[in-house]
Amino acid sequence: MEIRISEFGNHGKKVTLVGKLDIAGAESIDLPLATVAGTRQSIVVDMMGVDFIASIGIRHLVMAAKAVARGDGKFLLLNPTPLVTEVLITAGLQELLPIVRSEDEALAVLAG
Amino acid sequence: MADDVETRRFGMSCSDVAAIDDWLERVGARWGASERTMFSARLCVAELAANTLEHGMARTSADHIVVTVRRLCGGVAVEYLDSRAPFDPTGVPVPARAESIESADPTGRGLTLLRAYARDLTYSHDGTYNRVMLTISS
Repeated sequence: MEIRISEFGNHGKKVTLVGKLDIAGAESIDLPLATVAGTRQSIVVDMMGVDFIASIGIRHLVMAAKAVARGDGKFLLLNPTPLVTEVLITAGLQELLPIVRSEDEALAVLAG
Repeated sequence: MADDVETRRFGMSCSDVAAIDDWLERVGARWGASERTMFSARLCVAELAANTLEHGMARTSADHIVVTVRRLCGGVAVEYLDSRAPFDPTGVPVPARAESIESADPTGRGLTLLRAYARDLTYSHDGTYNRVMLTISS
């Protein structure tokens, strides 16, 4: 799994994930995601390149979202694939980890 | 449609679990199985394997996992064996859903996903192996 971290305008950080968010992928994003979440800035996680997700990957997203929620930030998932979206919804996360479908929508949520 | 069956034995490390997923992807590609069917099968096996690694009590250094997949007319059947101490993943209560991210437990969603994606989910122990059987409908 590849992870890239960049600025998201003036609103926080964008974390781009590419690959499988399985047991090996979760291990590879653990430290960088926890580090950026520890700043408690808003995070937009670009999920478009994630082609598989399991509960261990979800665990790391929830931990990061919980860290961000301790500050004033928001944690958004950007454009996960239909199969990944279905996993997130089945896991009961649609309200805990809000999904947006474009960067404009993410900006509107973060600015709101 | 041919009744294809493939079986492979794996170790008990994170890299072995990743190797199981890579193998299932290749099997699905060879069979021409639908992306959704194989995604569901991979998810169920990933949850079972993660559960084995995280919660399965080791018995010997030779503990291992054996996965068998069978192509069916209407989907895929999976048999998942692990040699760790007896543990029934189908008997564990599913945790309640959290009301907020602040109160959410990061863990505990694997069995929820397994039960949602698998059909005909059964567990048994034969003295050597935990044996979980399930089917995925296409």
